[in-house]
Amino acid sequence: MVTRAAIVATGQTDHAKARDDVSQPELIYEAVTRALTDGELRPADIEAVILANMEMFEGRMLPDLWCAEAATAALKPCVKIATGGTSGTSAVIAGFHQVASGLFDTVLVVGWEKHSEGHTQAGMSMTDPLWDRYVAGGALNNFALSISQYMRTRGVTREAAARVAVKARHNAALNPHAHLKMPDLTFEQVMESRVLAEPVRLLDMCPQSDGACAVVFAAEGRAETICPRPAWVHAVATRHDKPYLGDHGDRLSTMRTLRAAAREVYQELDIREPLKEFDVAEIYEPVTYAELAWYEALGFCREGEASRLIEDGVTEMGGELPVNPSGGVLSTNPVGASGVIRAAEAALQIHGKGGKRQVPDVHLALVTGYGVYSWSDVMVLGSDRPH
Amino acid sequence: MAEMVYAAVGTALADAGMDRDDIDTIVTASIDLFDGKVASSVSITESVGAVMKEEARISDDGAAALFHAATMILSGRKRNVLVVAHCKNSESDADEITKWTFDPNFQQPLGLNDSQAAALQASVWIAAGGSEEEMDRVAAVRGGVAVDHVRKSPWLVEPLRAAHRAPIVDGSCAVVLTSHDSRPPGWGKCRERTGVRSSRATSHVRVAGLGLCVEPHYLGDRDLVGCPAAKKAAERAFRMAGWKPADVERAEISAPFAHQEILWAAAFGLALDPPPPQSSPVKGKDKEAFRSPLEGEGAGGGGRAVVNPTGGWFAGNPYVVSGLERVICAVESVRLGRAKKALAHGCWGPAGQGQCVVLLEASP
Repeated sequence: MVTRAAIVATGQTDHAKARDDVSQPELIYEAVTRALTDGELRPADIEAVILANMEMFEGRMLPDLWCAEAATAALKPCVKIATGGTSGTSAVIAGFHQVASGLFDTVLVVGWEKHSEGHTQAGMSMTDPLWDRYVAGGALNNFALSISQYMRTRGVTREAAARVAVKARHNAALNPHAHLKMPDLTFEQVMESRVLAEPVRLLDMCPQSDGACAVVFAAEGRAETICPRPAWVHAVATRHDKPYLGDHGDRLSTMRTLRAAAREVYQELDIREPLKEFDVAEIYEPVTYAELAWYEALGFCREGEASRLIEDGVTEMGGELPVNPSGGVLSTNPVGASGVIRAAEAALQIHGKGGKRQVPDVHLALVTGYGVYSWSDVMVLGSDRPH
Repeated sequence: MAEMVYAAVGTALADAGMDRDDIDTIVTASIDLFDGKVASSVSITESVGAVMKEEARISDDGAAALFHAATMILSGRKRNVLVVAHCKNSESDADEITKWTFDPNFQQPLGLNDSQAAALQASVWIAAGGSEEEMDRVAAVRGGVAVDHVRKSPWLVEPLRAAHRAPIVDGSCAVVLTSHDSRPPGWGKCRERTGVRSSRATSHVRVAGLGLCVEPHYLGDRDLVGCPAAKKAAERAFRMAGWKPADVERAEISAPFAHQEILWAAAFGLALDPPPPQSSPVKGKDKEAFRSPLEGEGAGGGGRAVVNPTGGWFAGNPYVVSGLERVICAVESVRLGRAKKALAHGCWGPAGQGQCVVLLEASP
């Protein structure tokens, strides 16, 4: 790369089911103000802005234009990225490119969603009108199909998934920004929660949240002056895949996009044992079973061994590789922001600003994004400036 | 939509002398509400060849997607980027859909849409000395109709008539952007240059400068005539390229409403003085014979740019696609030797809230 880039500041809203107290720009303003405060920056220090949001969820057209000023973008370069669930991570990757290109020294990336102002299921159902709209509109139904297949081929159990749910909501209790903080949630409560679409139960699924998250990228030379321990971008990779659900019969058990993207960055960085080499991971798990499937795709374990990782506490706080100390998407899910939150939380761990959810001594962090049926983003952040 | 995009991509790849395997990454531009789909780009993943590849999607104008593609090349991570814009306006009613662009608290309850925002802009411009006759002539020339036809067309929103608005159509276009190795002077901080590649080795066209800018949202807060975002986008592009506005020989400007072409040409600093002769003939659909109201006698000479000889947006570019289509038209004018330096422009949002300028020149 030409110019090295790092995340030097982060800020996020207090995510909730409905933030009736603020409008979309005010929600963004809350996250942006916190990010600027974190980096001791002024709005004028930001040279360009990238926004992420899925407009169909709120029924807005070009909402970046309404919200640009709240993100300090008035009379600055500003575009919106919208790639479904990966919108946030794609926007973060775009922000990295803007700095790495040498065109800008500081770039603000902001993702947001205000699900309470729209109808998420209706928005998600606006898929291909000839095929997909009639079969499995929305995340829940298509996951129920894929999870059934995944359980059958890999022997993954409801019990293992329930432990993922407990881990996520317990971690969320350590995160002041999280939407679903459930410090007392028990395994039994997850197992007994109502079925949404067999085999997915209520507590297996991510919520719909109102929230925004902002990160500031800075170029080398500038980054060190803003942040004593910048979270440098070591590698990024993206894979998209075919558009129809029927193309992905074995989606969770293969997850070829995440596998290929992870392989690309592992090769680039010579990572051979991701479980040992990463200090923390913030992965985009929209449903408990997905987290287990992602363990396999990311090479944290061999195929069919994901249940063991969660049952042995390997991915819990204090485990060998804490996964989602933030509580993850299972605890907070404003779609356009969710990917930005993953990057912000990973950067926060490197900055050493994780508070109660801080993992000790984080040098290398893994970030993933997930969207549509099987799109994947992967980003690696590190405390050392990349070569 | 997938079929429309497939056709555009195939044409671009053939023109570049490349196939899908040569493409490292894809950047697309589309807007969900126009297409009536969530993540509208999902339906074209296969058409653009993004299966198991890197792809980014910009939800603004196609020129902004080209800007994004350039950052990927300049970062040194990618060499060959396919940029695709698509929109199926026939899935929706633009004047209904664009109402949802305005903030829901103060502007949307007024029932504002893109046409009304443009009409307010035209009114402010006319009050500031803009000429309705000039606006009529732009619409006539670009639309390939007689001025009388423009003046007799029904009101869209006063002072705009139906013929002041470019047609709303479906379409897609694609560009292949590649890196080159040498580093030209005037490239500022950039370490690599980018170019639109052609299979004809002699006709590479280099992206010399890029500028992107958005204005504040509320119409009342905006300088609708001064167009500061268009100015800033152009200034940034000119600075990057090391050009002066007077260097531009051809300008392809995205103006969905006739008066905007005049406003934005002025914002870019393209030569407007002396004013065009008021008695210029309009010869039916012969656009080349009367290329631009902004153009005096002795076309293109003396620091005067030829504007929209292709007809611009009035030639029938869909929303979203127009900016990238303008880039293609500017590239063509350079390839054909009609200009050494050309400007392409994209805009989006009410009264052009978002602006992107791309400068193109012949590559040695």
